[in-house]
Amino acid sequence: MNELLFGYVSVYGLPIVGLAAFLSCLAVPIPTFAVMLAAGAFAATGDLVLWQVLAVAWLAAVAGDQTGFRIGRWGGAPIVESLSKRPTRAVLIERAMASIRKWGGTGVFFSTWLVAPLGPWMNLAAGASGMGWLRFTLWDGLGEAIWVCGYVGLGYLFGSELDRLTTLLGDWAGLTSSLAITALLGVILWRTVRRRAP
Amino acid sequence: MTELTGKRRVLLVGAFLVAAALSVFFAVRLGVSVVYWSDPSHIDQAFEGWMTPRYVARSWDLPPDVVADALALEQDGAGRRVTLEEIARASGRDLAALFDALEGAITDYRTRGGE
Repeated sequence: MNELLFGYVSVYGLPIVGLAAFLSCLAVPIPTFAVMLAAGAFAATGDLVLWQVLAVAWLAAVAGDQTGFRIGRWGGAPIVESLSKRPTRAVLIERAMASIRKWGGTGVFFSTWLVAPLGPWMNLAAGASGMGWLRFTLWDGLGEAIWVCGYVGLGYLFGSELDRLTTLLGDWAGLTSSLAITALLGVILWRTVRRRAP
Repeated sequence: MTELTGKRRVLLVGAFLVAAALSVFFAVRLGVSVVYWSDPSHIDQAFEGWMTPRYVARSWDLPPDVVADALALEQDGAGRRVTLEEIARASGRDLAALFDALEGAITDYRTRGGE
């Protein structure tokens, strides 16, 4: 799988970098970080140009996130509305949306790079919750800059052994994401247990 | 938060355990990879069709002309990006033959003491 992606990057170059960055923001399951690492590695050898790789990847990622946000804004509102027909549920949904509106900026920021698998869903939720466009775009652009510079930079610096680097970082990303989800579920569980105790 | 019903609690605990198990899985895999690759004999990578001559030069720490000579490349100075697979196809050679030529050139270069 990785070899195939490396091949696409070395044959087609920048268009593949942009396409991968865009699609990964819309929850298409491709290991985009492998594409970014490869692009960084080929920038280091001189087969691609570093600033072009960074610019294309960042713009495509931000465009992908904007698309997700728009889909959430247009498609999300009717779903939220129909879910809110039952009053008990409406209270819960309103509370969830309020917390996204309050904390969403930070959530969007971290979902673009630290817990990247959550990114596409965060975009939809942010759009559906009515978060301000400017606030979303600023946090998102900042987060994507970290993600793009991080992976392309690692590929640039350590890409002479692309296969090894990709496997290592894939496991690392899997570890941080599953730890974050474990921690989140742990906090929710802890709260329900405490609530039950007298 | 409202009181969770029994079924939801079971689901939540289940999801928590799955996420925790995944964390352990990735931690172990990461650990195994790190240990495996800290052994110097496991470091050398194999040639692949997706690699470019420049990538080979960088990864095996060779001057570009050693790689270009081994692949019988015309250096036209255009700096076009090309992969080993494309070179093999364009010149009607076998990819394996290219790898052998590279292997030979690297051994040769290193026995000469890297001049």
